[in-house]
Amino acid sequence: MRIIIADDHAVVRSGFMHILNFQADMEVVATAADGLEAYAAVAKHRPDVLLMDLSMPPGESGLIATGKIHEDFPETKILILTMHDDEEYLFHVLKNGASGYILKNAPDEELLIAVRMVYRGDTYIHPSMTTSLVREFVRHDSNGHGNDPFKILTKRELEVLPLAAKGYGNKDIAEMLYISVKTVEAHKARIMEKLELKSRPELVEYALRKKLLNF
Amino acid sequence: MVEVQKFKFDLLALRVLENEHQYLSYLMEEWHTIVLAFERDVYTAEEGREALKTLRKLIVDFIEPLKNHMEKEEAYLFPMLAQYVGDEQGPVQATEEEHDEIDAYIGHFLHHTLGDFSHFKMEEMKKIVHDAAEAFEVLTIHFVKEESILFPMVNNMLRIEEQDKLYEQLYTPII
Repeated sequence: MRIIIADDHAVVRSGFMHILNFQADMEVVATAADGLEAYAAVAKHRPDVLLMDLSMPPGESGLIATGKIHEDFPETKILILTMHDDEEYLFHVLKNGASGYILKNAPDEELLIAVRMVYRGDTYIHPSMTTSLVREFVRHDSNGHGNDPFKILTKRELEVLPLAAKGYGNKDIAEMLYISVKTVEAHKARIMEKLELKSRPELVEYALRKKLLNF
Repeated sequence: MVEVQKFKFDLLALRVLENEHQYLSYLMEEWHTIVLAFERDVYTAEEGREALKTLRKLIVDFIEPLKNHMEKEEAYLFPMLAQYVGDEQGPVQATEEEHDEIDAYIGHFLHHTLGDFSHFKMEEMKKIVHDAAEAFEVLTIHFVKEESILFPMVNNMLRIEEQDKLYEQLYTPII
């Protein structure tokens, strides 16, 4: 089984690489430090499994990259590594095409079980999180889109929002996302309009509430 | 994107050891950055004392996996190879001696950084850090030697049953 690890912390990449390479049936073929690198690595190596951190630096969050990778390389199974045991995240990473979701502090044995499960085509959700998942599913099903940013905003708007909330200027955001300043302005205006927000403090408060900020 | 160094050996016993070398090399690179900074006179005395504290912590964290790795080699790999090439001279003996040398440099460094070193002057610190630099150098060469001399011997000289047995013996985590 060929695996890629995407995480912005070298120590995490190295530790996971050691654990996975220790298994006779697994081999780490590349590592990546952000979503863009993860996309490039998957395009080049076409691994069986991608272990993907959800909280990576600006430019391409793990969540957005997960969606793009799943769309373009559906044969690569994506297992999300995260510190968030938050039900809203869980729901959306699965909707974005991930095959599983594992907490970074999970024991090694659990990581290996999860990797093998998603490789076989199954979905891995830790038992303690399945209740949350079902609850979230029912809530979404009965409430419609409600106040859910993942439903209201486009993928690009979801990239712009946390950067704007963190205080990056339009020029910085444009450089990070490889788009023009005018496009950034347009995205920001649409975000404010869609979310019915009037000021940056409101935007920051919204981003914090919806856990869209990763520091 | 970081391309991962491919394993040189397919044999599972050797893959375990090579994987451990890769992990230990990563840990070494982390603390070696501080060693290099001392060598390049990057720090003021105060910064140096802080850096020395960090270096000691990183080396302490490094000892456990290193010790586990070396003990496995000494308990299983070396005796098995010694059946064919002996251990009173030759590559097995030379490799074992390097283990002792590594132990000595690291032990020296830890001994000299024990306790309060708020009074250390830059020259003293550089002298102490030199032991860590030596440990890094010996370790780096040691890994290369093992992978280019000892590991091919496992591949070429041991019988398949011995290789399988070695894998079973080496297949224990070092972290």
